[in-house]
Amino acid sequence: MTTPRYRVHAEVEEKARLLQDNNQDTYRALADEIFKAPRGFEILAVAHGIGPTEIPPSIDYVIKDRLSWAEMQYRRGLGKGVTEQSIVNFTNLLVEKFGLPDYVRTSPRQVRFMRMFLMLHNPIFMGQGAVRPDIQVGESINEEMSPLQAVHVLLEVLGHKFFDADFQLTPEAWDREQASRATHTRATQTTGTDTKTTHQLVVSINPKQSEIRSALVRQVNSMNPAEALSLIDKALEVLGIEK
Amino acid sequence: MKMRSMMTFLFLALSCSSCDDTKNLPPTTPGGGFYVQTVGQDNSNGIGTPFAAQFIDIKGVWDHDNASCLGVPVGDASTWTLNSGGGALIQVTNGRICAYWNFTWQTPSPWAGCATLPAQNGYVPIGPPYTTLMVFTCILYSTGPIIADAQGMQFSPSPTFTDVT
Repeated sequence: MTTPRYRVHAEVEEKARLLQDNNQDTYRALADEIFKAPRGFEILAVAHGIGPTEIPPSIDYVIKDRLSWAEMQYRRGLGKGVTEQSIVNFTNLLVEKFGLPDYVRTSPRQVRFMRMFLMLHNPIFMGQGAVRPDIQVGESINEEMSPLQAVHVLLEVLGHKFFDADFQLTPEAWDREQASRATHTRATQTTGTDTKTTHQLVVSINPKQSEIRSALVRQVNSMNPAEALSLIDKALEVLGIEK
Repeated sequence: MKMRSMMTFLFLALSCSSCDDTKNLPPTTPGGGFYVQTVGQDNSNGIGTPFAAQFIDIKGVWDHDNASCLGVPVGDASTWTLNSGGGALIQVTNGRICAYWNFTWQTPSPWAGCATLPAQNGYVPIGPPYTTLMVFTCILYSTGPIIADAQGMQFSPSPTFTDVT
């Protein structure tokens, strides 16, 4: 696995670099950037007025305040972390609540995959606390994350479930696909004499994205503000982020 | 006189060879509109996870209408060049639907090579305005002994294939 040539969510990484221990504003700025980061949801915002950037200001303020405080407490050793399983639980809860297709369900492996993807691109932010000081060769990274790391991973998982055809698979189908891709990657990395870089442009339409979009728009438009607030509260509760 | 006619014909032929973008466009009608999402994908590091490619200039040139479309092609077939902005999304206002377009990636990002590639043809199907999202992806591939040249962060064993319980 090599260092990527292009940084995804570079603004998130920059805000993480600027964090100051006792300055909640810097944590708040990081929370803002995590919600603003492009993850494929933009068509929901532009065409339907829904998505992480479209939360009403009064609710938005409360959520980010709660998150930034939880992050500060966690980093001081006073707050709880969030497990990968909690992200799985919340994503699957959304699938059930909104009647989304089965391929939107996720698993600990998919969450770990997306966490590692973010760790490659945002090492300052996502690498913080990922390994214990006494970790041994062959041991895995912590299953637990900080509250803001968990939200970053959750939104990335949801974004990829929305727009990424390779990720729009049931956990079982995805496991099979990953095993096959790993074999192929090993083959391409260990054969040949020269490293060559090539580019390709592809134009496509993702029918699963349209299917999810229709279901989401139908369900979200039928929710009243109290239900929306309750869902957000539930998200923070499932993620274990205290009030 | 004959020479002058030939020169006039030659001049007209040459001047038209540079008018590809304005070739016999169909008349503009209301009811069009679609989106283009710009995506990058680095398949050189073994993960190949797509991501939103921000601030990309895309040029769209109408190619032709779909004659066997289940409906009438509608919208504007004019050439456009638009930037995908921070949201990696372009709204092609009244862009012609039920039509084939040639899309060119003009910004050398996320990799310089993206902007050197020829236009890609894509079909925008019939439907209500602004329901179609065309995904335009620039994929980076590397082949060869990457492991020997690996730099930076490495994980062993690969954590993405660790048994997570």
